[in-house]
Amino acid sequence: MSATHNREQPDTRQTLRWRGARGAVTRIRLAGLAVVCLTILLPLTASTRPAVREITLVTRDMAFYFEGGTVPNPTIRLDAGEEVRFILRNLDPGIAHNLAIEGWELATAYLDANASATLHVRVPEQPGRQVYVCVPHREMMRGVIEVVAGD
Amino acid sequence: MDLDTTRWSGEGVFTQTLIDAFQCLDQVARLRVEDVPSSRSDVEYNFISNELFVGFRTRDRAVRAKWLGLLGVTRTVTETVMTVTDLEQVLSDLEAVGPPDYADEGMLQYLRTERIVPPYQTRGYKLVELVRIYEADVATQRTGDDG
Repeated sequence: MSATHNREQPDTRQTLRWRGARGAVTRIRLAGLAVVCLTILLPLTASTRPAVREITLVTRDMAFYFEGGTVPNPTIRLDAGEEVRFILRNLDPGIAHNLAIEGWELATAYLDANASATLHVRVPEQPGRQVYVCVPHREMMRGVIEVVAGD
Repeated sequence: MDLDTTRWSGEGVFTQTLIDAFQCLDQVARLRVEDVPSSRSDVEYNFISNELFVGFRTRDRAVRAKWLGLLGVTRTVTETVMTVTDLEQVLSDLEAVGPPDYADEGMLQYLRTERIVPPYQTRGYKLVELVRIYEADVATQRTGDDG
């Protein structure tokens, strides 16, 4: 019984060794297949639409500024067709402001100090210029949006 | 009153009105006037923004307290004779100044707008003067500009 057992042991080890080598090859093949699949499928899962760009504007001292910026009523450059989310934050105590792009018929509500609002914009495909204003202070709070052809 | 206008361009009629008013107030010990960098002008408007930092006179007041909760002691506390809230009331009563357009416990704000039509012009331009009054030596929204 024990002799038989001893005779069978080398075969079993050989089988295990062979199985281990074959398993490694299989694993390598599977990994390669996964890489190929990911290479092909990942671009298909990604959206063709670009991410929404956020532009934060603050109002202070009766002017619009980019957040952290020092240029009053700055020119805003947008790519044709892109999606933009404007975030407006009013930092003027005691003065209500809003953001309106009247050519696109878009406007936020009037904001009290330290309040904020968002404006979602799908930029038209045609390059051009639009004016953005604060409606009650349009003479002083007025800037230009330049729409340029996208890449 | 100690008046510091070294950082003021002198622009702003209403700012000058306020300075004149402060000079009549005994409670004000010092006043500093500064241009705000956001002052700007365009074809249709001239925007003047100034900030006034007011230092109130102080007085000493004896306050009784207990040292370690046991012994009665008298401490001297220095306090201002006026607050920004008091100042709001005083300025509101002045005919040349009137109530602020906005006030909180740390700031008074006046916004004056008028249309200026120079001779031989029909449209003219809008003159906007924004004046903010803060208490000096108190932390304000404009970091580093107080005191």
